Order: sequence, then structure tokens, then C-alpha cells
Amino acid sequence: MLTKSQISLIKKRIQQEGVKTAELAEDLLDHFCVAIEQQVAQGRPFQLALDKAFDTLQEDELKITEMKTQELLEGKKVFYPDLFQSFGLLLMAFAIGWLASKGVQAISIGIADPEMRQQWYEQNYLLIGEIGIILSLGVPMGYTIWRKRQTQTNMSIFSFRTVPVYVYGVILLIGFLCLFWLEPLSLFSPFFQEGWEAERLILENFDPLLIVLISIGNMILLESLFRGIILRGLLMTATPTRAIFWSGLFCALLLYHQFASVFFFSLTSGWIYWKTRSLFPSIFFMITIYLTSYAISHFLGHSRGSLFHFTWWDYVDHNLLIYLPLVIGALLLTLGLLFYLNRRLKAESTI
Amino acid sequence: MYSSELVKGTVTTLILKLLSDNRRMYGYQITQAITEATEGKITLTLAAIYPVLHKLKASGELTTEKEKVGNRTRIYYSLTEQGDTTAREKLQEFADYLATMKSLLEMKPGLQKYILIPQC
Repeated sequence: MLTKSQISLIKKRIQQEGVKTAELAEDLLDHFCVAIEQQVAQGRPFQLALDKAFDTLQEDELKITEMKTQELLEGKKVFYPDLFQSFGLLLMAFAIGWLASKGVQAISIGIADPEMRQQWYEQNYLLIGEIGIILSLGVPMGYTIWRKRQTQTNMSIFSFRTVPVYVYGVILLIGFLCLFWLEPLSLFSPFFQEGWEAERLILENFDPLLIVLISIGNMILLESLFRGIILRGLLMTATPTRAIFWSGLFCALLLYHQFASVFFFSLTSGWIYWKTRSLFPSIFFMITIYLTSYAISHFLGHSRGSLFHFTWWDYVDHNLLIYLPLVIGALLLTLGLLFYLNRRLKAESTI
Repeated sequence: MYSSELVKGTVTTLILKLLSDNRRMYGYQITQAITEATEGKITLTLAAIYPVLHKLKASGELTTEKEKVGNRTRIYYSLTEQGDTTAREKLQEFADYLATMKSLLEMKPGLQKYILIPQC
């Protein structure tokens, strides 16, 4: 009979080989335990028996077993959008957003006086924007949930696994550092300058707490669609690199006015989702970015009258000698933290 | 040893047959039973057996019972009523298929005639 610590070793080995489906891992653990016990009964030392059991496997056999199980269980039973279907969901989000904006135009056209119309628009800016976001993200999500409900047996629609606490700590740091190295991408983007100044002035008329709460809600919706549904589906049908790239690109296309920064946020968030297979860390990452950015704006930018438009570029008075090391240093630190997270998750294989 | 292409389409039938003969079996037991019964001519890899077991469970053909064995859990698979019907259908279909293949390979004169006609 194998001891608890010997079983833990086998379990760890199975996880390291890429098996994530819980019941399959249980099956394989028993399979290897029986095979190893037979070897041990013949007088072979445990470590040798363990090595032999894994050496007899074909190349990537456990990984293939996991993939085939997921494919048979999820790919065919449950609706998981592939690249083409994900693009369809993106088009759906665009179309709903466009229809929502046309609806607003139709309502505002009833207000004859242009000044009154502008005033009505500014007063209802948050509500109008939020309805548009909820509809454009909610309808594709609702459609996917409906499709999944029709086919799935007992699987959850979104993947919410618990992850070790240190993961959140590392993500918090990454989120903070992202603000430095992603800033140039949004700051010098041609789309960014266009509408932002006007939006900033309107936003300053609303309660900051309300804006923060709404933004957090939007992050959750955004992550649920682009990571929870689209990336999860793409990971079933494409390599992780392609899946993360396409889900990031689709997310950035939808928020095209902040294309560059959203694209890189999404790539990072997608990588976090892939590594943890959980929406908790990726949502936490996006909220961290937003809240940290808001907190910095509040404490450092408020005195300059730029609560919703704080930039380090302005803060260092456009001094390239300070700004560049700040950006490059933050980027290098982020890469270091991602490397650390990758290694630790791989070594522990606890997720 | 038969090629994996040849065995691939028969794994589900083999599993259903074994489970219809035995009340319940666990994964390792199934692979060993197949290896022993075929004198090593068919050896199922992990990637051949476990995804199929899980698929059959998800589609309601199999049910599982978990039992503690020492310090680990063992999952026993058994046929559901639906699985029992499927097993009978699959075995009937497979027997029929084998008969068809046999008649094809025995080269009945009528069949030979068609095979030997040169294609234009």
C-alpha cells in the first residue's frame, strides 16, 4: 500500500504533465498507483517504479488524454466558441452597441434646442453609456449562456477556481506596473486624444464613487465575455498563444478608441486566465488597474484638477529623462513578475 | 499488436462489452482485461480509454461510484439502463460489421468480379 507522501508525488507528477480535469486526475492517480504497487510488490523501490510507470507513457500521453477528455466532454457537449464564432460574438457586440447609439440619437432628436440636447446628453451620460455597455456585452454573453444551457450537462458556464493568495499579490503589483509601461501606448494613440478631453469634463460632474462602481461592473462584464467565454472557447480549439492573441485583439477592437492599451491589458489578462484557468484573477487584474489608476489620480492628480486624466507624462512635466526609465523599468519588472508567476504556478501545479 | 487506427473505432464497444459482463470496473482493470483477453494484441493507452469513459459518463451511458482504496479514491464505472441498451445495440452493430467485413475479405465470386474490373 502506498503512503500518503508517495501518492502526493504521483499526484504532482500527473498535474505537472498537464492534467487539470479533476475526475480524470483521480482516475489516473488510481491507475498509476495500481501499476506502481504491482512493481513495488515485486521488490522494486518506489522511486524506480514511479519512473518506470511514467517512462512507459508515449510522448505527451497525459496531455493528450486531458485534451481528448476536454474535447469529448466540453468541445462537443457544450458550446465553446471557436475563432469564427468568437468573431461572430464580437460583431454582435458591435451591432448592439451601434443600435444602442442610434436609439439614443433617436431619443435626443426629440429635443429641438441643440443646447438643451447637449445638456440632456451630458446629464444622462453615465446612464446612456452604461445601457450601451450592458447591452453590447450582455447580449453576446446571454446568447452564449443560452447556447450552453441547451447542450451542457452539469458544467459551469464560467470557470471560477480558487487560486493561492500570493497570485493576487503578484497580480496587484503587475497591475500597478502596467500603468507605467502602458501609458505611452494610450497617451500617444491618435484615438485617445480625440474624445477623452470632452469625456473627462463631463465625468467630473458625477460622483466619483458612482463612476468607480460602474467601471468595476464593466470590467467584470468585459472579462466574463472576452476571457470567460471567448478565451475559454478558443483555448479548446487553438494553441494558448493564438487563443490569447485573438481574444485580446477582439477585446481591443471593441474598445478601439483605447486599442493599444486595451490590447496589452487583454494579453496580460488572457495569460493570467490561461495559467490559472479562473476568472477571479483576471477580473482582479483589470479592477486593480482601474482602481490603482483612480487612486493615483486622486492622490497625485487631484490638486492639478485632472482627477480623470492623470498621466505620469504630465506628472514628470514631460521630462523624457525621468519618464523613459520609469516606463522601461516598469516593463522589465512586469516581465520579471510574469516569469516568477509562471515558474511558481508550474512548480506548485496546485491550480 | 494491431494498429491504433484499427482499434480506435472499437474502444467504446469494447468498454461497453466489458461493463455489460461485469457489474462494475475501474480504469486500470478495464485496460488489463482487454490486454489479457486479447493476449496483448490490443493494449489501450491512457488517451484511448479515459476520455471515452468520461464521455460515456457525460452522455449518461455510464455511472460512477467512488471508493476509498488506501489513501486514494478509486472510480468504478458501471452501465446505466441507457448504457445497457446502447451496449446491446453497439454489440449487434459490431457483430454485423464483422460479418460484413468477413464476407468482403473472403472475396465472394460476385465481389471479385467488381474488384477485378479495371477502372476506366
